[in-house]
Amino acid sequence: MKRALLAALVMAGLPMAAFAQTCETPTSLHPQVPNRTLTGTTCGGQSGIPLGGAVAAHPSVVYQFTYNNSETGPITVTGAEREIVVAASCSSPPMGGGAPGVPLNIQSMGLQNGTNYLLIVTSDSGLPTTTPPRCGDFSVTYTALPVSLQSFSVE
Amino acid sequence: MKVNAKMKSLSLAVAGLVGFAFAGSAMAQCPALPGAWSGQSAVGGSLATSTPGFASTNCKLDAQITANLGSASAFVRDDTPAGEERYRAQFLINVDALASLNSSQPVRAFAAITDTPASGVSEVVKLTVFGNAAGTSKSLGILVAGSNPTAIGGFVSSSVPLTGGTGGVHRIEIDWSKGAGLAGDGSGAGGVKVWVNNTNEATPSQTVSANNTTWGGVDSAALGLAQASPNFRSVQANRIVSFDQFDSRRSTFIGSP
Repeated sequence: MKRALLAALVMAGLPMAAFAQTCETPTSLHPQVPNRTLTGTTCGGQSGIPLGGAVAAHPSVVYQFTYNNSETGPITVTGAEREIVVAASCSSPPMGGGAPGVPLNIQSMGLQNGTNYLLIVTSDSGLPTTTPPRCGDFSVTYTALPVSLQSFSVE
Repeated sequence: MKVNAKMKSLSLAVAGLVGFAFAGSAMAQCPALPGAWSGQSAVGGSLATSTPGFASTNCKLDAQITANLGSASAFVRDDTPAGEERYRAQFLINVDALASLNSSQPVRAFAAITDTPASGVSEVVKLTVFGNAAGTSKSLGILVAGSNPTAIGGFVSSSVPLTGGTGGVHRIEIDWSKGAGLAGDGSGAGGVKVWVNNTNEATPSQTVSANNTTWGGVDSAALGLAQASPNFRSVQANRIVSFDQFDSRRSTFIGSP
């Protein structure tokens, strides 16, 4: 168990673009530690996510988290041209979105406690798609996207 | 290319509906809906015609969502197409009334629909309107039914910024075709080309390739508001989106009026 927890923490500290991060295989934000920053790049990410018509046409990376209304605070993305959306699935309309530097208060979106949602980092939809694709570095900070440690033992 | 007589008559009929020319009369009367359309749907929404129209026409179609219902819609329907394996359409749209439209507020503005769906998807192509996260710019979402490995929920998707236009009015044109996928240069079949305020056939604003061989051809089209997202219904209710100059054909580029 200790080894597994260490592995999870090591994974959480790596640039997230190293993992799948697609609608089919989103990167789980669990287990995570609170009050941290994700960094990565949207380059090489998934393009053309329909999002119920609010299409994320630019390369995007997809995370999944379980909402806990007692622990989840605002999320802020930074990075020129980057933006984030929170959605129940890649086919459904976003429940909210955040522009760079503007905290996204996900507690006001009506998310259901204990339900999984997607956090998608993409680029400004108001900018045209280009060749090569419009993409780049980002960081996402949150006060907590946590999970409570359910059990822990030392071998 | 010769224009199919049925499609041509559609073009004329619709022009008669929203592009009415009453010899310049300032007292123009707009026809009652559905007029030349096959039908209309206004559930938790409303449809009306108003003066003036766009681009020197006398009348336009006004659609709005008025209630926060999941089924809310306000669109007119054309049932004239009959299994069309190539379908072109053009219309004018003004979405300026949708203030601060953002990424959580998409709404469908147009759909070409088949009676022979696949993968539970009957819209072979649909166009949506939505904004960026900051609510400072608007885009046209393009969703094409396809069985490609990259398809999500049965759609291959992209978007085009809604920029340019005149006085908030944007000219949108599509060229949808059935097939295994468009070639890299946009030729071939299977997918859609979209022109936004662009009447140069050789340079579409966006091309989306899709393998849609398992879908039927276009049997109807819907112009107006539908599939409004929850946040659209709660924030953009009672705001009018206007349409005009709908034209549809089988194979001839529509371009400039």
